[in-house]
Amino acid sequence: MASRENHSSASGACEVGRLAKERPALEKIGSRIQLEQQLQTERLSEGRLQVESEDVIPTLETLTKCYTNFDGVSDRDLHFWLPQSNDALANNYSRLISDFATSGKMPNRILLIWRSDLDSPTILGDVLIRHLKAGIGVAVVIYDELPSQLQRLATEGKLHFGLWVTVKSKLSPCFSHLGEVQKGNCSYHLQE
Amino acid sequence: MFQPSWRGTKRKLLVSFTGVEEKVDLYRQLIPYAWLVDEVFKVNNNKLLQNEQVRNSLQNVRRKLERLVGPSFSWGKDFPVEVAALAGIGQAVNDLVALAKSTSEVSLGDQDIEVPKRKAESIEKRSEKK
Repeated sequence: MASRENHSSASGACEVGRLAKERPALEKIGSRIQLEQQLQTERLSEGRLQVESEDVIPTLETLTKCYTNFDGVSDRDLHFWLPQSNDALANNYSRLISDFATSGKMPNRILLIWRSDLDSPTILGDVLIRHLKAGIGVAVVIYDELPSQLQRLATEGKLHFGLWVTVKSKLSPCFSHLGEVQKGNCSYHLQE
Repeated sequence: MFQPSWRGTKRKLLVSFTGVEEKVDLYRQLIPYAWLVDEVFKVNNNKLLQNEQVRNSLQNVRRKLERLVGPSFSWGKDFPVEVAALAGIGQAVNDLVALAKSTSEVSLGDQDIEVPKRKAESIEKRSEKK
């Protein structure tokens, strides 16, 4: 089976090579895809992976099936969790974690907020209600009250993560990190 | 620089099976600075809340907050504001806002920074007047 796949993949690569000679655009696009795959393989070998926005939910679904506990930290991103959000990713993510809770598992989230977020207490209230209704344990931390060392880590984007753990299991825990990506240049600034 | 607004952006998910201990440690470090928690959070993190280091930090933060806001503030058992049910959210948020207002002149920030006594007293007097 594996040798048949290898053979098919090798002949596919030959075909691409032949076509690319006559079509520079295909060559450029193919090179980019191959480079991305190579980078992803390197990351996987180091125990890391980067998931594009369209694959975020399926990947999170897998994590929710594999682990029993989720402890997230959301760094000054209160609007993302608003119930009336139009962002499909935000809504699907919230639904997923809510399902995680209803299946008897334990999700929690620390909401790191700006002190100025308290100028609109209704927003915080709505976000808290959404969490409580979904059975997600929630804690609110005011960024301005953190020690400077933790504030520095937040500025570096290191306080925006989720921990996936299964208690009393040999399964290795992992953490996820929902980084923000600028449209256009595809550079994300929360990558570690 | 972190963008407070996420609208108009796409997100990528980064998953890592290494360096988890560092994240667990960060999570543990954040807990004592929580000013509002709900009952589910407390139950789910029960083990972590028994941790001596976490308890000490919690007490430390509370002592400093108490000096600022005075005894009239209605404290939760472990955290400044605790909420048990949906119906209590409104009051809990109001309490959090009040707490933030009382401490807005002096950020607790670094744990080793002592709150200037005179400033703390003036804030206490002001909250008594209210």
